[in-house]
Amino acid sequence: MLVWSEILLRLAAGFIWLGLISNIFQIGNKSRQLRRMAVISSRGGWLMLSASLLTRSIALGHFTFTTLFDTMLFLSWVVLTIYIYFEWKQGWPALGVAVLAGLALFSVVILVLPRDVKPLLPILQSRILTLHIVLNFAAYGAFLLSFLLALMYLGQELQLKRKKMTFLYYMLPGLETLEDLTDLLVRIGFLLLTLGMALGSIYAKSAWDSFWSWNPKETWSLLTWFVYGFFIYLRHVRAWRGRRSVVLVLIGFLAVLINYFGVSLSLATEHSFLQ
Amino acid sequence: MHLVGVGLNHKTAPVEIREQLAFSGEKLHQGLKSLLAKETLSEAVILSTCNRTEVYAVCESSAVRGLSEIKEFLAETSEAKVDLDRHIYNLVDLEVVQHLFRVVSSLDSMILGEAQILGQVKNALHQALEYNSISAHLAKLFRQAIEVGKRIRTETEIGESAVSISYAAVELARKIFGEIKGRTVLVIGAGEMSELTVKTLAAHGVDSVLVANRTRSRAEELAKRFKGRAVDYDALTENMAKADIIISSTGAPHTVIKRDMVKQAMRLRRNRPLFMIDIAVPRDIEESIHNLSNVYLYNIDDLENVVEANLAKREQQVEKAEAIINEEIEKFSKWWSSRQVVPVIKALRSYGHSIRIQELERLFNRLPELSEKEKECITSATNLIVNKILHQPVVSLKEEASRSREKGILYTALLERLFNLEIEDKPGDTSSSTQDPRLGEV
Repeated sequence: MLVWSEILLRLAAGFIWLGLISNIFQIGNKSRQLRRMAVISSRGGWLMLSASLLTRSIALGHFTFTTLFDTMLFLSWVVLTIYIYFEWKQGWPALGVAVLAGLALFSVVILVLPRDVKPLLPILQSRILTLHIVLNFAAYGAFLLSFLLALMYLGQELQLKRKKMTFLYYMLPGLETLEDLTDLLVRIGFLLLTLGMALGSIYAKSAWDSFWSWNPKETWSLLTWFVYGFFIYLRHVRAWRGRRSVVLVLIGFLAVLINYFGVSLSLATEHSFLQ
Repeated sequence: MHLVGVGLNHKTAPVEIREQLAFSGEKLHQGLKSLLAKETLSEAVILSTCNRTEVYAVCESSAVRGLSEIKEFLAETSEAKVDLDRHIYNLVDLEVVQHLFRVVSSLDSMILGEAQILGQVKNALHQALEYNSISAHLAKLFRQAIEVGKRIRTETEIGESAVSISYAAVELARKIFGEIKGRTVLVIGAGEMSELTVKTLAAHGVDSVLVANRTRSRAEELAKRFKGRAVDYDALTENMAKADIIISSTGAPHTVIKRDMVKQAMRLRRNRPLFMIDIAVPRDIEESIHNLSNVYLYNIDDLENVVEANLAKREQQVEKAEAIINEEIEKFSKWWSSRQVVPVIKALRSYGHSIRIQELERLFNRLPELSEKEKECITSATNLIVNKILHQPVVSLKEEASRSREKGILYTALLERLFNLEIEDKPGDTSSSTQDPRLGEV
């Protein structure tokens, strides 16, 4: 079973690279074959990735999240799932390039990461904990996409303000569409993060008898939560719009990155992958 | 048999000459009729638009003859006696194909990438079909041309991005709002350009139009024309807050819209983006307004720059379009060459069968005791022999002809010489046409 999971994972990576290439060639080229190829590869990649995740969980007897490998696999799956929805709804090659380039890079990292799983400690066998992790990573996925959309917004905004039209002007969609989608994804991500953190806290109470212990992961999560919360507040209550509100999305994502890679890799906590 | 074409367009002839040679309705019908009445022309299509008049024909004799017959026809049609030769171009065989393919894909148009020409070529084909002035050859050529036009529009970006001021405004609105449907536009002042822009925006889904004018009656009048609503000229700020797109073209000698007004309007519209188009000269809107966040101010020069950038972008697609055209010429050329050998194949077959029939007659005379059934068997056997012997050479001839025109001509000449064939309409009449039909005019 594990062998199957590995094979499927490589196939998924292949599809993602293929999708990236066909999306790159789609820019400035209206070929229908390329479009079809892009759609087929992203969907094929999603199928393979889903199957890989599933076979791995079956082989190990449970959904795994104790290694960086497993979390990155799950995060890729979340991002690809949201992306496929966008591809179906909007079909912007620019977003395809951005998302698939990220995932292609991810796929290389994933393939070299260690993936041996030690038997799960009894303390980690909990439904609440699993849900806590799933929700948090779903939130990260939404934040990643909102970050990419925010970058696209800034690119198009620059074109329209400087009135110098480069390929970005033709390639990128309209500002308000991008802004609204960014906002939507941030709100979805914020909701998921809130629920995920609440569940984590409930789990912590049952495991360590404390809702909150101010370890670095928790602190960074809270900070992330505040940045996105602040964005939502400014946009919906204080009518912040456009560039300055979008910049907050970039800051929020920076916090996510530090939280995910920085804290988990460098500091030994309950959230570390290095145990 | 040759394809011939004679035409004139906006580059070769002034409008005074083009309008004399414009064909439509009954005149077109008559034109096609008199073309077919010419001695050597067997099929004809007239493509007539405001920028060009072109006659495409199939000529059963030498290409020179065909061309001169078309020129004769054009001279008869034009009223004033002008020296047409100075304004027309002559095309033979693959030149005709290449030219038509370039025309239908707008590479020969005044505005590169314009879409109308495709419809006009379609129309020319339909008229010719309706008046029964074409058969297999031109029908195939024009059907393929229409496919080429469609292919280039879908496979290249030659028709993308706006190349007029009003369309550039629509395109920018799309890049700012994503979707134009349901947006509101406010028109301040009046003028041809702003009217055109509003109409174009309305055609793309803007659903309400507000009109402000210093004179209320003029505002009401314009509002009626745009199916919009007249608003108070003194309440510009409030109305700017309601509108997403503002088009200003007052005749005022100084700026009408000040930075503070827009600032306040932006507060009222909770900073939702605002697209301002200043068409007036001297300008109506203070330039520094563009620096306010979420406000995008474009004046007439800015729009023209966008148009220029877009045109440059279309230019980049020409190469790709030419590549598609060459591919399609190749396809047509194969088909055309294989059609060229049809007469020699006919002649070869009739040569074989005439010998067979002659010999059969002689045989049956010598053997009168043969029964009807026996005769029938012998007849069909000899028929099969001739057909089987001729089968391979005919297949090879078709193959060679579809590979290159020169080979087709060579093999045809060889067969003619070897079998001493007589062909009524000789294909690839090299004595009267240049060797390579793509080089030089006849």
